[in-house]
Amino acid sequence: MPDVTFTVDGKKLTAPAGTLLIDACRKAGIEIPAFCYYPGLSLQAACRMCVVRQEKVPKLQTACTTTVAEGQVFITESPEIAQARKATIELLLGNHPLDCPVCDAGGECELQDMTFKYGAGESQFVEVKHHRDEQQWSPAVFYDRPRCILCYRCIRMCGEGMDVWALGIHNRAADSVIVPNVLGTERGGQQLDCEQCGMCIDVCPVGALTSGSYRYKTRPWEMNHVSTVCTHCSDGCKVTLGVRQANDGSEIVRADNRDKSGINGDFLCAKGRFGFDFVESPDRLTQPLVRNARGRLEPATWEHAIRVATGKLKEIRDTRGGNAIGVVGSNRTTNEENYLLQKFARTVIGTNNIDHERTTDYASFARALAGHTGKTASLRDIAQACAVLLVGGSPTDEHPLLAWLLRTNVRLNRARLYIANSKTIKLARQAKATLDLRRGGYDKLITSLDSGRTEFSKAIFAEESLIVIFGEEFRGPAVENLIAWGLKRDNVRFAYLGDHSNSRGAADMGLFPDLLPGYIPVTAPGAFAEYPNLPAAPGNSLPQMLDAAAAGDLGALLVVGANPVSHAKLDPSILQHTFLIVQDLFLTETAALADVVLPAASLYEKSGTVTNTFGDIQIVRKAADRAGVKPDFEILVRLAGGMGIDVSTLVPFGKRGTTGDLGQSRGAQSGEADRHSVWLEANGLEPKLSPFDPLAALDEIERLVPGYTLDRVNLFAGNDVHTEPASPGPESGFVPVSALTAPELVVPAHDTLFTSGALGRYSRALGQLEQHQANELAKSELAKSAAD
Amino acid sequence: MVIDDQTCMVEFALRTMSFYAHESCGWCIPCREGTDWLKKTLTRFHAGFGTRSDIDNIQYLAENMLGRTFCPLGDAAAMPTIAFVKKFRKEFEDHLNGMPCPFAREGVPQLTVV
Amino acid sequence: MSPKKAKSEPATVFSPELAARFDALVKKYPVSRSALIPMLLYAQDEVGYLSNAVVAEIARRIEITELEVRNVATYYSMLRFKAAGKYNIQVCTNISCMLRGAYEVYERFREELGVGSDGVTADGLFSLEEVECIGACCWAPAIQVNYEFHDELKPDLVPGIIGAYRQRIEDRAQDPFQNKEKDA
Ligand code: SF4
Ligand code: SF4
Ligand code: SF4
Ligand code: SF4
Ligand code: FES
Ligand code: FES
Repeated sequence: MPDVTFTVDGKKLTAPAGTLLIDACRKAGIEIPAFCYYPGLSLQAACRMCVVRQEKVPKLQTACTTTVAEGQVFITESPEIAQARKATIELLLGNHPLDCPVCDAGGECELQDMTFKYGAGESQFVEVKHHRDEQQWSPAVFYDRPRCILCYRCIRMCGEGMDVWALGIHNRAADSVIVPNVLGTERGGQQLDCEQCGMCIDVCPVGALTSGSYRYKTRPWEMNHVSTVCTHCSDGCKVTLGVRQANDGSEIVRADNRDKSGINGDFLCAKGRFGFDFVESPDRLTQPLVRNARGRLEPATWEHAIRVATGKLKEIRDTRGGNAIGVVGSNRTTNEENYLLQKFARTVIGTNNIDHERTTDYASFARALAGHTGKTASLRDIAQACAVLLVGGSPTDEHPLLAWLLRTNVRLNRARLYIANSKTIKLARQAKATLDLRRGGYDKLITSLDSGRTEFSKAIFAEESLIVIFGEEFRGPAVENLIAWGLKRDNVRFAYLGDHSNSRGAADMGLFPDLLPGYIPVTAPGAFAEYPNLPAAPGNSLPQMLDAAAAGDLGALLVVGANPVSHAKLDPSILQHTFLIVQDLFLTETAALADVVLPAASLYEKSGTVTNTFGDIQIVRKAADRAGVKPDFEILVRLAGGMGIDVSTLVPFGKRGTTGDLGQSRGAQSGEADRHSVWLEANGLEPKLSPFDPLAALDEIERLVPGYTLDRVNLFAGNDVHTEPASPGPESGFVPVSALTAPELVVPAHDTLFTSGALGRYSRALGQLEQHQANELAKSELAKSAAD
Repeated sequence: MVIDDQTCMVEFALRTMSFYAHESCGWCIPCREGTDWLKKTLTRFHAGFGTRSDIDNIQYLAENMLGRTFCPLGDAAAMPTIAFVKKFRKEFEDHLNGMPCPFAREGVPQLTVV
Repeated sequence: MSPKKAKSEPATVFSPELAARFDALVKKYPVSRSALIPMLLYAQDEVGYLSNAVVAEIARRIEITELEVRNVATYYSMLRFKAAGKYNIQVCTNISCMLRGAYEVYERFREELGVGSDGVTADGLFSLEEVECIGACCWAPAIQVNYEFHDELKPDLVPGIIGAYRQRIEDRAQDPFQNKEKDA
């Protein structure tokens, strides 16, 4: 649309023709009050707060529905307008309860703010107010009708935004009331049968919709607000945690993203919004445990536990060699921790026996894209794409943010979504065309795309640019075939879906027996040759380590934030000859078998970076605190220290020269800390003073890992920064090895909206939501069978 | 419509307003809340529990609905109300001080609003 | 969560005639949900009120959620979710009728029937409602009993009207061929 020029309050503004006046004003810093207008949702013109005066128009106009055109003249503040807004608030307050002192919204309530601004402080209202008791619609959502100002944001958010349509409005006039989709019965009140995302609560401008986990707990000004990254799925929503002091540290009381920063804007799913309470679980480990002479795990001090663990590790390494030890990393720890873990395994223990629980085949993805740049799609790319081909998966359950962005892109930008799936998924409602892969399966995808016979393939071929999103249905050669198909055409980019908040980071950081960080083969380590004692041969994959354990050949196993016993459905007895060290939040099936258990901090209790499945890196900030636990980063440094290692060889820290070689030499002989500090200086960065500072590892990652050349300004400002796994290309030594990237190593999590591995099991909120939805499902099945 | 001088204009205003309060769709704030508030105030006022400031408030509310609503139903409710107060202020004042409706007749029930 | 299509056509709560009428009605509009309001009215006439089963079936027929059906149905005061009396007496008390004595008439109905507004008599024969203008202002005050009008009323006429309806029921009870009443 061409730009037009118009006048607001005497200022000349320019915006594309057809822009809503309210948006144009907000962009220019002119605030127009609004209750019902919500960016991205359909227009209502219901609250009449945004009224402005337009020249030559007899009545006041609503800025939220007026589109700008050339030469228009508006006034947004005048006594007349102020009076109109004041009167509207007075009318609203007529039936509004005097709840502010106890209301959850108090302090961040849009009605409070406007009452304050327009001075409708005195009420002439002496009539009886409408009253209705507060209702609980689900474990997550409560509704207090008297506080509701009927702005319909919740209804539109649930319907248009979530495509769930679980909220409605009943009756009319002053009896109007927001209702959930399950009718009340004699046995219980109205209920919500929905995705329980809490988006409706989030957009409610007042305290009418409140959250089961936050209500009546605290006030906004009593919390610290820390912006970090969700620890659940691999989409990486930015989340603002409201944190409050508690007896044993500080506790998280709320999660939202009201500032709309980050790729997710204000979106969070049920897990991100309510599933933070696992950190408070009474089952949380807060003391190290060491198995005593009687074979029982008993609490110990950190010093003792580290001593026992490192003593044994050292003994086994020194007597049986590093390859008698295995290391299993996590899909949820930070990039810095993952990086440190593999460096620890490779340089301190001296083995390539390192792996993680793979949920998808990132190694094949990286290999298939080797040498090509600009071929991966970030989440932001997807959010703005003209055309997307989504193959397999069920993003609504497994990647709620991706589903949200696809829906929104279709709805607001008329993006074209193509779905090829072996099942019918909810996103099909937004699809322009679908390809049913029920028969033939995913092997047939490329053939049917290339056939050019179906409408589906014709439409795909007509697209000028395309983003192909696929998941674990494609592994090994299938990944390469699909990518080869796309690389033949210009303008195809890819995204590959895995599970958990940092599975991509685990892969990128080289938690592989055959691949170093950046998917560099251990056999051709390139820049990693600077690692002292880097073993040259690939190590064992996770199943191979477990086989070795069963055969009595694995002396020790260090498991960080993983649960192979449950994951691989192991017979616990196979670990009886293996000294098992586990770092975890909970006494998982694996931790219960351990000889030493070290209580770890969750993602919400530490800092670092994580990489979502699209390759977008984001900064993680420490929000909560729990007495007794330590971040995995610190635990690893302590383990290394306990094994007698100079930790500065592991984590580059310290002032230049103090731990290095005083700068006499450069090159292979110079100490890591010194090399690091030369690099820091070249990049205008400060040296890190503590070995426990994960940013020191980030420096090294940036220095050594291809693709992780980061835009730090953006990263530290809290923005997502895209990386590509394959930037080096074959010429820089990226040779495909890897009989070990075998498809059967991939075990997808298939999480639902309310599950999230071990974290989900220890989240009371998610458990309740899952139970609630199961009950609703059972009820509707019952009703259906009764109707038949 | 022709109305004789035996008709109470407060009652008339009330019945008019209860009609609009019933018909308001509830979409926008001025109409939904304005009609409800006016109906409540007029009911109380007609029953003899009004105060002098109510008369001004009735006019204030109606004037602040006029021209501010999503559809003309709000205008339609506001316009006659403003006229009633302006033109028949005396009849409103006659309801003050706990006086029963001066037009009340034997055997005619007081208007109750459902 | 979403309107699910029934696998097999489940039994209908409506008579075969009405079901057939709905089948045709739904096809008449470019968007099937446009049939919603007429369907609600016909369904209420046949069943007496909008029971849960009625709402569910209408939702199914036009492929919208039950919530959406209720969003619309609760908006209209002439649509009911509870059974009314066999004869639903709607007394207009709007301006014209009021000026000509509608409240006296209404009051008389209350006395005679012994029920308040929206009440149903114990025998289920009569229900009473106060309504807005029914379009008979020229003959005010007016009432509507199901689909029959009575106008130019006075309180004294009320017992006669009630009596006539009672009589009608008695007559029908004695006439086996007239048992099935069609008021509509
Ligand atoms: S919704 Fe806002 S104005 Fe209403 S009681 Fe709560 S804080 Fe106060
Ligand atoms: S929680 Fe989410 S899905 Fe449920 S009603 Fe609210 S917006 Fe809709
Ligand atoms: S519940 Fe909140 S969001 Fe929904 S209509 Fe009421 S005030 Fe608006
Ligand atoms: S979509 Fe994923 S990252 Fe976002 S809140 Fe949900 S679980 Fe967390
Ligand atoms: S914001 Fe414009 S009417 Fe509500
Ligand atoms: S006012 Fe009673 S029929 Fe019109």
